[in-house]
Amino acid sequence: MRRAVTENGKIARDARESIQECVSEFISFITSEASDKCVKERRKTINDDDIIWSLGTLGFEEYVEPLKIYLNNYQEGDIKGSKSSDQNGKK
Amino acid sequence: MMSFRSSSHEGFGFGHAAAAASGAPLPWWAGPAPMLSGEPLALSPEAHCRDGRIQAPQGPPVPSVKAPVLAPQQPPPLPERGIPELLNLSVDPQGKGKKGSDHSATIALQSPFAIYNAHFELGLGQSMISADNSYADQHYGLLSPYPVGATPGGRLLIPLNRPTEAPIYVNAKQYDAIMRRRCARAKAERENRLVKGRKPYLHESRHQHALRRPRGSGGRFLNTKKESSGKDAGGGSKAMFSNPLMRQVASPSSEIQQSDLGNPSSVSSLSGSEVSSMYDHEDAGHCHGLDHPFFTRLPSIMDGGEHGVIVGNPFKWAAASEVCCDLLKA
Repeated sequence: MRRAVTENGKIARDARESIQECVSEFISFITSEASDKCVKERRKTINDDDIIWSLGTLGFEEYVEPLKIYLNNYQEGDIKGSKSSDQNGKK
Repeated sequence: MMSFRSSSHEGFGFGHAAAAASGAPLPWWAGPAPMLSGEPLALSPEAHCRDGRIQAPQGPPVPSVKAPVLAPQQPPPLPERGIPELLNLSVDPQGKGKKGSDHSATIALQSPFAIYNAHFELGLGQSMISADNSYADQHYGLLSPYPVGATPGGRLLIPLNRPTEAPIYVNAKQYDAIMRRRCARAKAERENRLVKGRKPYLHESRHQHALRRPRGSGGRFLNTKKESSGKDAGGGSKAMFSNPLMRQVASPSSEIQQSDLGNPSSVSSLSGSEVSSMYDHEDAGHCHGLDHPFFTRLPSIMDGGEHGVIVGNPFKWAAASEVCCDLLKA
């Protein structure tokens, strides 16, 4: 939340808690839609495609393209993450 | 045809705007109080949920689904806050009465914190415009089943007849999901599975250690700022890499969605990238301190927890399985 506020700005505790509840509800909202799709297809694991599909189904089409790009970059970063973990192991 | 549909939609939009501007007056709020108390006594929540589900394909499930969701929702907000929560609760019955295309109303339905609608409206402005354009036909079609649903439920007509109040429209795509979420929330409420008031820390010893560490002005830890020049350069490069990723995402909710995506694949890399992105705005030393020594990550986790900036991260770092459980429960 600090990224959206100026450097000197402060965020009240109630605001943080409210945002936390809103975000949790949003996550449950998206996840329940993806879960229903998995139930229909008789699968047990919700994957990234299911989440993106549920976003599109619930009317958040604008998020689909940015999230796909984000997912690709994240998967590329996954390799770097493993490398850093190897370095930590060596040390 | 097109002009007629657009004019009717605009009219309803004005009604919604008027309701939002005027808010919920106290005398109107006094009316629904006995209705809310009467409904749960009449039938059990389970029967109401079942009736709602059975009637879903026909269209009249709206009046029957109202009661079970309202009953469990009423107790939690009352002790927390006073008048604002009551005003928010008064708006809920109308939202269930009708459905349409309005993302701000969707947010109002999902959570009782109507005050923060503006924050989400800014992020969802484009989607709201596109939704209005593409689903005008569905909006018009969805209005027809409402009169049929209103006929059996005599109580539903009373609040809607008042000119000062207007129903809350939601996105047609999200209506079924919203109803499903309400039943799921009511079920969780009955089973007492809702997590209320999380623990600020998981391990007592780590908490005590964080309390004993020296702090500077603003409450930040002092030792993590001391780093060599080479390490600082490494941290800076990672921060530069993470910045474009953050800019591509429109709102923080999608960012957290990204973190949700990352959980099944790899928790360690997720936590690394997330912490680096979180700390790039605060201090490069912090970000860099997290990378090389493995054990220093733990005090940094406590640092985040104490400041309250990153509420979820300490739990993710401490126990991945518990984080998954928390996400599923929430």
